[in-house]
Amino acid sequence: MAAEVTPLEQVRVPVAPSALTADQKYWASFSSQLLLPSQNSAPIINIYSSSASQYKSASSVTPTSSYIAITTSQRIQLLSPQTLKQVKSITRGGTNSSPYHSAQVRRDGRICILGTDSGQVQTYDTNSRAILKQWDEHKQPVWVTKWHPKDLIGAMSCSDDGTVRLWDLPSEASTWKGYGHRDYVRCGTFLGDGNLIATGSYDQTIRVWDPRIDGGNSEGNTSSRATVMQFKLKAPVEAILALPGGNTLVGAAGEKIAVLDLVAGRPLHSMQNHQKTITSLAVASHVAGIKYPSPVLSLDVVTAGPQKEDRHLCVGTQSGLLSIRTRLTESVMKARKEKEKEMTALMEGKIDEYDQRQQKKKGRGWEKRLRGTKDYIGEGADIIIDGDAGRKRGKKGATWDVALRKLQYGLALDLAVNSGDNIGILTVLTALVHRSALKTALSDRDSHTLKPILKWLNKHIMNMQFIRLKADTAMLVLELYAERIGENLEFDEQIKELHNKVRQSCEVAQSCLGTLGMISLLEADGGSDR
Amino acid sequence: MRRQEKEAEKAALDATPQVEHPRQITIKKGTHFDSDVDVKDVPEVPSRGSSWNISRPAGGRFLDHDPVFSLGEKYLFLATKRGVHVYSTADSLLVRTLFANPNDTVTSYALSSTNPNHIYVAHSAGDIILWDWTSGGEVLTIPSKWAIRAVTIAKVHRTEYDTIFTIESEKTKNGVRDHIVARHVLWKAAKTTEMSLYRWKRDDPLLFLKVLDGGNVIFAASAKELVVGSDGHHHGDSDDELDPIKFKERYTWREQPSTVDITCLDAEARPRHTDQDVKRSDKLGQMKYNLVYGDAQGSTYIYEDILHKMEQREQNKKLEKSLKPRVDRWHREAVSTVKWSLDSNYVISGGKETVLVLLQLETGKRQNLPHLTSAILSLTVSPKGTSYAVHLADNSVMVLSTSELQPKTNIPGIQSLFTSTTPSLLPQVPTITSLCQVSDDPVDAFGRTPAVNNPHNPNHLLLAVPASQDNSVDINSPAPAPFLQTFDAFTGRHVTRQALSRNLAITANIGPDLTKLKEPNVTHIQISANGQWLSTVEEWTPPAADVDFTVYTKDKVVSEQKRRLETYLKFWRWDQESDQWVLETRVDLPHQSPNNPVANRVFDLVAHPRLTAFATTGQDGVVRLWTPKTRLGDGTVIRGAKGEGAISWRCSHSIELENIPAVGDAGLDFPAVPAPTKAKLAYSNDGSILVATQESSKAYEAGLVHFFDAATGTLKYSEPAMYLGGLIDIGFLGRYFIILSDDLRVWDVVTNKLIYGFKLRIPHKLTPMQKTAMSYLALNVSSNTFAIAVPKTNAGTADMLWGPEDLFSTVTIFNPARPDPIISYDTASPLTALVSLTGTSGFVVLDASAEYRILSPKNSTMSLSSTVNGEPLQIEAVKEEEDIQMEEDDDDAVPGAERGDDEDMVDLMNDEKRVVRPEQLAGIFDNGPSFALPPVHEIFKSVVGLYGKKATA
Repeated sequence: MAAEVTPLEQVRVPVAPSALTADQKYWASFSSQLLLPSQNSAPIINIYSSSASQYKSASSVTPTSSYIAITTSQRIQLLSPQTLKQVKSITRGGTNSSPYHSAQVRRDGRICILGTDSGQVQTYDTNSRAILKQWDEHKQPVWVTKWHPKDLIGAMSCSDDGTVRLWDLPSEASTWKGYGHRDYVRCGTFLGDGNLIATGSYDQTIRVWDPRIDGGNSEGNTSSRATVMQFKLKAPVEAILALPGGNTLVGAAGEKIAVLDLVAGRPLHSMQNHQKTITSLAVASHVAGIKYPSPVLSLDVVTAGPQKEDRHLCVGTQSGLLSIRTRLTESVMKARKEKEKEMTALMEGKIDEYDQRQQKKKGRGWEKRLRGTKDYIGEGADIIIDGDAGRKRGKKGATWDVALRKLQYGLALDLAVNSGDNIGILTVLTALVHRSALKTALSDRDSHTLKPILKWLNKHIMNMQFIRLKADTAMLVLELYAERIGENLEFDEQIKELHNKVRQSCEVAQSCLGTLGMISLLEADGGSDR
Repeated sequence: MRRQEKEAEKAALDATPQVEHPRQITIKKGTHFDSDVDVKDVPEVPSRGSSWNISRPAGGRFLDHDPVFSLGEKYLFLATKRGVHVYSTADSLLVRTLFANPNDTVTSYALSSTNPNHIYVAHSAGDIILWDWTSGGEVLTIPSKWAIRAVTIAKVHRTEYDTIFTIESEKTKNGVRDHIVARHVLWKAAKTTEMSLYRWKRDDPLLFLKVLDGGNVIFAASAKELVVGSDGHHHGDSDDELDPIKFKERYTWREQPSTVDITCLDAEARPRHTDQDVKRSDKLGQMKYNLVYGDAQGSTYIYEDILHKMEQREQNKKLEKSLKPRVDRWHREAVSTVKWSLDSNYVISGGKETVLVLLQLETGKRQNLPHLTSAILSLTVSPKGTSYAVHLADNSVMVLSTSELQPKTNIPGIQSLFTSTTPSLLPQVPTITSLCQVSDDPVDAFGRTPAVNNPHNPNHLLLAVPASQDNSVDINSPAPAPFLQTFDAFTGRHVTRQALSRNLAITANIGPDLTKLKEPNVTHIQISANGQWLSTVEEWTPPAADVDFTVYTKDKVVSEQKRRLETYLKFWRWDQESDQWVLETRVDLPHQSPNNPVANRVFDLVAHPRLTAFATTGQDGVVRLWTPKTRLGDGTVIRGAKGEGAISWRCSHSIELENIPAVGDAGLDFPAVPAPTKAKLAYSNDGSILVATQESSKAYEAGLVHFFDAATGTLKYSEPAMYLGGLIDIGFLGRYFIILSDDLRVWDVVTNKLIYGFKLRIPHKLTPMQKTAMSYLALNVSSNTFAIAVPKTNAGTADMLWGPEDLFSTVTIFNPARPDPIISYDTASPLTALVSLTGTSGFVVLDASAEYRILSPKNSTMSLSSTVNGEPLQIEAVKEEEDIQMEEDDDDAVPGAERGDDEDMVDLMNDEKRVVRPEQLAGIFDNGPSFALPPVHEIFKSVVGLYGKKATA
C-alpha cells in the first residue's frame, strides 16, 4: 500500500501570549457608544430592562413591548431596546413631587412599578401613563421595587425604613412584611422562582427571606424567623444580584463583591477590583472594566434574540449621562466586513477580481439555481461524479511543496522567497536542510536570482527566531559566492548590508551578555546574604 | 505498598541530616569500597530444576525469498529461518507453521508440482523435508551431502513425479563450488537419486535458479554470469529419464558472462503463436524462452527468445557476440526483484528505492506504485495472476490486487532492529553513503530497539522500528527508527504501525548528492501508568557533508553536527476512536545546555509508576519533571473536538544536578563547559522518590546518586560511590536499588547497604558505546525480579579476534534479595530489547535476529499463544477448505467446455465478493483481551456487516 502524499508540515513559531484577553476582546466589541443626556442632568439612579428577565413564566405571556426603564430623579424614561429611542416618559407633575427611585416594567411590558422618595410604591400603565395603584405603607423612601419573576401580580419593595414588603396588585395593603434589617434597605431581589427574597442593607448584612413564614413586626428587635439566611459583610450593601439558577447570590459591599453560595450557605469568592463603592450589578457572560467620565450609578445589560445574547450595555452616571454601548451580532458584523472589503476593492479598482472571488465562493450553478432552469438538478442530486476530486486535493498544497516533491530544490526556494511568506520560507529552508539539499538550492544562481534570498536574509537576520537556520543559509551563500564579490555592484551592496546587520546583532548580543553578567553578580551577592 | 512508602519516608528522614554532615558520607564511602570485595563473578545457575519457563522463539525476519502462493491463492507461504509459515490470504492470519529442526535453518522452499498439498523445504544442514502443509505432517526427508541454497520443483515431461532442482554448494579444498543438482522423487521406490547436472566453475556463488518447461530449460546465474541448460533433442522413454547419466546428458550448457551485477532474475516459457512462428516451429521448437534480469545499478535487461538467439549465434559466427537485450533503466537503486506477468505482457520490477514498476512491453508504458515506505525485497505473481505478493524490507508481506493495486492481505512480522551477521550474497554497488561510513566496526551495527509494554493492554509491545531494513546494504550503524509498531507478543501478531516522527515515506530518500537521507531516530519511548499517554524522544543530526562549510578544519565537523542536533520530546495521547496515538505536545530541544551549545541530547526518559507524569534528563545536567496541564487561552479552558479540555504538557520542575568540574587547562579564563556523557533516572515503585545519576567522560567521581522527592523535586539525599563507572541503567524494586554499570550492584536503600554485586565480564574489545547498546536492565515489580542482559562472546575467542557473529547475550534473572540468579539464558545473537511485562511476571527478550522469547515463572499462566507455537488450531477447517480447493484445481487441469463455463461463473462470483481488508476484521476481533470483547452477537453483527454489504461498483 502506497503512502498518501501529505503537504509539508510548517515550522512552528513559539506562541507569544496574546495582548488582549478573550474578555477584553468581547467587551471591546461593545462599540458605537450612544450618549443620552437626561433632563436637567439629573443622575440616573436605576436602569432596568424588561427583556433582561431571566425567567420565563409558566403562563405564556408574550411581551407586547419591551422597554428599558431609566429612572432619573423626576422622570422615568422608557426606551425601546431596538431603536434606543425614548418611547414613553412618566413625569410627576406638581410641586410636592418626590423623586423617583426605581422603576421596573413588568415583563409583559404593560405595567411599570416604581418607588418614590416619599415612601410611596406606585404602579403605572405604560400605555396611558395613568396611576393604577399607589401604596403608602413605607414610612421612608423606597429604593427597590421589583416584579415577581413568575407571578404577574406580585411585587416586592425595600425601603429605608428597614422593611421589605410584598405586594399583590389587586389588594390594598402589603401581603407580607419582613422586619429585621437595622438600617436602610437599599437593594433586594427575588431569588430563583420567586419563593425567596434576598435583600441587602446598610446594616452590612444580606438577608435571605422566606415570605411563606411570617416576617415579624416592627417591635420585634429580634430577627424574624422568616430570615432563613444571613450574611455579614464588611460594608453597607449597595447592590445585590441573583445569578440565574437562584443558587448563587452576588452582593456588593463597599468596594468588594462577595459571591455567596446559597445551597452551602457560605461565601464562595470575594472580588476586589473596584477602587470605590460599587453601586450596581448586572449579569453578563463576560467580565471587563470600562472607564466612564463620571461616577456610575446604575447599569444593566440588555439581552436580545433567542439565545439571550448581550446586546446593549447601558450605564447611567451621576452626571445624568446615559451611555449605551451596542454589540453587533455576528451576521451583522460579517455583512459589514464584506461590505467594507467590497468598498476597498472598488476604491482600489480591483472590483473585477473581487467579483471573481465571490463567484468562486458561490460555486458553479448558482445562477441556474436562481433562474430555476430545468437542467438544474438541485442540491439533493443522487449521484455526483466528481472526476477531479483527487486532483483538486493535490492542488491545495503550496506550490513549493510540489516543487520539492519533484526534487526541484532551487525552484522551491524561489517560489517560497517570492511568496514573501516568512513561515513558508522557513518551512522550505528546514525541509531543504532535512533533505541535504540546501547547498543545491542555493548554488548555480546569478545576482538576479540570488537577490530575493539576500533581501530576505537582510530583513530577518536580526530576528532571533530560527537564527541558526538563517545563519547557516547566509554562511552557505558566502561559501558559494564569496569569490564573486566585486563583480556585481548590487550583490556587493547586499553583502555589505548583511555584514553590517550581523555586526549590529553581535553588538546587541554582547551588551545583553554584559547585562546578564552584571545581574548574575548581583544575584551572587544576594545569595551570600541569605 | 505502605511498606515502600515507609521506606521512602525513612530514607528521606535519614537523608536530611546526612546532607548536612558530609563527614558521614566519607565514612560511608570507605565502607562502600570495602564492599567491593563482594563483587564477584555471577555464579553458575543449575540448568535443571529452574522455576522459570523459556518459550520457544517467535517473531523473526522473513527470509529474502520469493513468497509462495498455494495453488488456489488461499494461502501464502512465508519462511523465517525457524520454519515455513502458512498464512491465509483472506484474513492475513497465521494458520500453521512447519518448524525446522531447532538446530537447523530454512534456506529455501517450493511447492510440489504434482501434489499441491506438499511443500519441499530445504535446510542449511542439507536436508530437504517434504511436508504435507494441510495436515502439518512430514512426508519425506531427503538428505543431501551439500548445503542447499535454492530449490525449484518441476515435473519433467512424461513423468508422474516431482523433480527437485537445487543449487548446492560443495566444500572443496579450493573453496566452495556450486552445483546444480536434480533429484527425482520416486514415490514407489521411496528413494531419491541425486544427479549433479552442472558444476559451476567460478568462485562467486550461483544465486538464481529457474527451471522452465518441465525441466527442459534451466536458467541459473551468479552475479556475474548466466548459465542456460537446455534439452533440445532428447526424446527418450520414461525409463531413460530415471537414469542419472542420461538425465545429465540431456542438457547442453551455455554460459553467458554479464557485464553488470545481476541482482534478480526471472524467465518464462511461452508457446509460439504467431503464424510465422508456427510455420517455423519445427525448426525453432514449440516454445520460446524469455529472460529478464535486473542489476545493481537499477536497469532491467529483457531478452526475448534467448535460447534461439544463443543457438543462432553459435551457428552463425558472423553474428555479433552480444545478445542485444532490451534495456529499461528506471530504478534509482538496485533492482531487487523482477518478474514476468502471467500473460508476459508486463515486466514487474521492484527496487530498493521503494517503487514498484509495471512495464508494459508492447508500448513501453510504465505504471509506478511509489511511496511503499520500505525497500522491496521480492515479489511473486500469484498462480492465477490476480495478485502480487510483495515482500518489503520492513519485514512485511503484502498481497496487492493486480487490477487496482490495492492491498488485500498484509502480513507484517516484528519490525525491530535486525542485524544480520552473515553477509549478503547479492552484489552491491558502493554508494557515497556506504563509502563515508562513520564506523568501520561491524559491531556498531547492533543497536537498541526502544520498547515498552503497554499497561493498558498487557499483551502489546510498543516498539520504535525503522522504516526499512535491508541487510544487503552494508552499513555499520543501526537504522534510525521513526515508526511505532504495536506488536502482540502473545499471539505473535502485528497490531498497528504509525509514524512517530518526520519520515521519508513520501519524499525521495536520497539527497541531491545521492547520499541516503536519514530519518530522525526515536531513542526513548515510555508509556504512562494508565496507558493513555506515550512519551517519545527523537534525534536527528545533519550528515557531516552538510555542515562542513561552517568549519575550517575537519575535526570541528562533529561538534558542528552536534550543534545542529534536532531533539524533540513528544507527548502522545491515545485516541480511542482512531485507534492511534495523537501528538499533543512537542518540546524542541528539551535539554539544551545554556552554556554549551553542543550539549543538547536527552539521555533518559522515565514514566511515573502511578501518576501521569514523566521525567527526563539530558546533557545539560538537569532533571525535568513533565506533567499535563489543561490548556488555557485567555483564562478560559480551550476545548477539543469533543468539548474535553485540551491538554498540553509542561515542565513542572527542573532540578539541576551537580556541575561537572571543568577538565583540561585550568588557566583558561573560560574553560569549555563539560557535559555529562550519560545520565539515568529511576522512580521508586510507589513513585515517591526519583533517583538521578550522571557520568562524564572523565570519571571524576563515579557513582554519585541523587535521591529526589518526586512530587516537589527537592533533593533529599545524595550518596557517593554507589557504582564505579560505565553506567548502563538503574532501577528500583521495592527497597532495593539496582545499578547496572561495569558491574551489577544491588543496594538496600533503607539500611544503605550493598546486598550483593557481580562482575559482568563484558568482552573488553567492546567500546563503551557498544556496551551500552547491548546491555539491558529490566525490572518486574509483580514477580519482584529483575533481568539483566550483557553481551558475551564464546569463551574460546574471548579478547581475541572475533567478529559480530560470535557475539551473543546472556540474560540473567535475579531476585533482588538473594544473590543467586534464578535463571540464566544465552541468546543466539545480541539483544535489541529487554522488556518487562507489566501486570504479568515475565520478560520479553528480543534479539538482533528479530526473534523474541518470553521468560516467565512456571506458575504464571502466561505463555505464548498456541498460534505462535504452531499448534494445529484450525486443522479441520483448513483441510476441508483446501480439499475443496484441490478438487477445483484438479478440474482446472481437465480441459472441457462446460468446465470452463463453470469456472467463469466462479470467477464472476469471486469478483463480486467484497474485499475485506484484514485490518477491518482485526478491528472487530482485536479489541484487547477476550474478556473485554463486546458480546458475541455484536461481533457477529459487525462481521456480517463487513461481508454482507452489497458490493458497490
